[in-house]
Amino acid sequence: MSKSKIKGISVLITSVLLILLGILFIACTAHLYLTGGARPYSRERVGEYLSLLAIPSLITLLSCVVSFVFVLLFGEEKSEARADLTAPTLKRLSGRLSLEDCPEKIKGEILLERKKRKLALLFSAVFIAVFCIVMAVFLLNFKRFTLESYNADVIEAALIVLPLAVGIVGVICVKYYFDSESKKRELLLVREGLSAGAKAIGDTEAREECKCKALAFLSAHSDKVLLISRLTVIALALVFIGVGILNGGMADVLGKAVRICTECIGLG
Amino acid sequence: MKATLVKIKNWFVRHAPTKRRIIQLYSALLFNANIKGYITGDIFKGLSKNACTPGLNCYSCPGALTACPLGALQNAFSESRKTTPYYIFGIILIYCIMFGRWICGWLCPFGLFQDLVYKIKTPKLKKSKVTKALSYLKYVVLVFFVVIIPLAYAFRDFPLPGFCKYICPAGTLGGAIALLINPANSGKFLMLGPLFTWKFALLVSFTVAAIFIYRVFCRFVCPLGALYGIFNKIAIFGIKLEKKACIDCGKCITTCKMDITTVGDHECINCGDCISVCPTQAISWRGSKIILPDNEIKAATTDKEREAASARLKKRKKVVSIIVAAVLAAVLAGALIYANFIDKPTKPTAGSEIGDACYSMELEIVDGGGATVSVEDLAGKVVVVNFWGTWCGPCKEELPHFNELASEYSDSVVFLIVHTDYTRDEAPAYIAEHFPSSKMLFVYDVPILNEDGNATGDDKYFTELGGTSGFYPRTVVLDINGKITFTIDGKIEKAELADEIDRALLKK
Repeated sequence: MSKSKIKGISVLITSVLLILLGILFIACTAHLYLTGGARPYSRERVGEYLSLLAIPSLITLLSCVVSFVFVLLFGEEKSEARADLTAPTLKRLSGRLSLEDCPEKIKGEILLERKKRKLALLFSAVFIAVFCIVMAVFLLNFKRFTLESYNADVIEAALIVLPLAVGIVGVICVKYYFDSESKKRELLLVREGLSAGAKAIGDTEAREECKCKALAFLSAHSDKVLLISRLTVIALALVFIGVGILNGGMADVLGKAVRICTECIGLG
Repeated sequence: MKATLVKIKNWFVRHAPTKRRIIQLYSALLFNANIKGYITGDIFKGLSKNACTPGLNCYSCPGALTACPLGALQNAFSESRKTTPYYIFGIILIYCIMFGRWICGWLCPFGLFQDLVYKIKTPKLKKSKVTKALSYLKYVVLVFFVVIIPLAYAFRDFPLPGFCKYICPAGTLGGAIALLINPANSGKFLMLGPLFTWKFALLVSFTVAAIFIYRVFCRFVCPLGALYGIFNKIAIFGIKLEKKACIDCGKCITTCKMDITTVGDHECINCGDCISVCPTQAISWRGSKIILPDNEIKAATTDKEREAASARLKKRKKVVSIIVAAVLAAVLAGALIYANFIDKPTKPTAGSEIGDACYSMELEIVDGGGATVSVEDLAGKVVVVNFWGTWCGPCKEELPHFNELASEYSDSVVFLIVHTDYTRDEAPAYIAEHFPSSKMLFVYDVPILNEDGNATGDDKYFTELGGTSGFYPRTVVLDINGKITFTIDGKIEKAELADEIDRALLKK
């Protein structure tokens, strides 16, 4: 068996063992909780379950050490991460393409792709807004969330809110996929346009072509704008801190931080 | 054999700790310098907790010297009806504008944890369009769990840190597990329930995922990273790309393990791995020229002048590095000494175990015009002492049960509900609103005075009755002779408390 095969098998075994160990930990915790009655956890019971997990943990640890040694001895393969270079390349090239000199057909197709993306943005914004409004209306009208039953109330609310949230995430994913495919098509068109003889303009000219005067001005004085915005944020932050100290905000932070937040660490 | 030894030696040379790793380890130690807390099983209560750690570090971790910005932010939203959260907004804004996501790459202890587990040799999941899309999930987590949930519950006058309670794995790892492994906290196992089961499962899932997916929590879930990412491009310190020098080869993007579109965007954690791969050296550190300006090199006209200027800059870099290292070492040493030797813990005194006689507590009645009540006055009746605070969610959750039991046992049991906090401003209004004609007797705990005679919060009797660990709420049941028959940290169910009261009554 070749060295790379040995290395590959040991790494694969380690991966499988790690996943199985994770599943075992979760399963043991769930079993502990479900079979423990009113107060399922105690030091003794947790100790019993940990002793059950000791041998699988040791085997996994041994496997990690063995695969580490094999990789050390037989060399590590370097692999580059896959990356989508479309968006930055398109931004750079299309910003320098003069559409006026572009062949009509290519110009039309480029403008169509940009229009499609704007429409997709509009539709996804509408969908997301609708989902958010439905969620907000539901939550604001949810008459429960009383102190006595807030855990049950949260679960009930989550059953409505989670599908909406999944919907929002789904819309974002679809929009993102659509955008990336559209940008790929536009990049090919931009390259076609440049090779067909359309003028490639420099950055200064690109700024001057910008129809929005404000954007053009900001772009020309970007360093000053950046400095002013940084100084403004710093000044605002210092004012907030000062006001916060005076209005008792700092004491609130201290008061919470010196007491154990049992909810935050899962204790109740 | 010689070749193997050479391979091992080369591996150690290649994998020697980088500057970034050293700074990550340093910051993890600095923010958790209260080593004593791991030994005693108690959290740090010093004044440094007025400040916030830049990264994710639970303030319920026994080692934590400072507060968590995310926890403090959610708490501030919960209290926003009473106090506008200017302070925490200011702190987070300062971190955002100064460092952006450089904090994620260099200072965050949980980021370090993920970096270390990622080193385990397994196949790794490469970034793709799916991971890029998933990277926007953290903004949803930020809006929903960090902003909406605490604000929504603020209208119910109920503090609920949504992200900390339902998601944060740093709290489970650094807080719960670190506290529970200490034998001093063995009684706290009884507080564990469905929430801990869920959070532990989440922690295990994130840990296993982090072995296969680079910084899985930072990329897809962390709301602090989402906040910092918004300011990443305009932050003072971080990575910058010189567009004029960039030839668009894309090596920086393919080398980067985060889901960046361009170097320095909202996903970039400013780790600096891309600097060495850029063929035109178009990537550099923003802000570096504030500390070490290179205008002498730029002003040089001949090669000789340029070489001399470079040598001077190199020397200056060395001097600055030594000064910075010395200052950082002094800060760490100071933090370790302050946390572990100067700040004296409050030791529990006798009278906190079952069978002990309770101290004669003299407590001021809420809205009683200065009138007090003493436990000795209540001899002959069973007394249920509950320590709570308006800032404590679980405390507020169980008070209605206590109210019901107080009505049921009004002849034979006194419910002494002791409020503990740095301020007494909020308790009267809360009690008047929620328990207007209650049979419970609401009182204030007594301030603890430090060596200078200044009050450090109303929790003297809480501390004396064994509550040094800071776990709230705490319930103590006293029999008719004032002896402790039952104590518990954390929320107690109505049926369980009724059983303990019956047991104490049977001892008559």
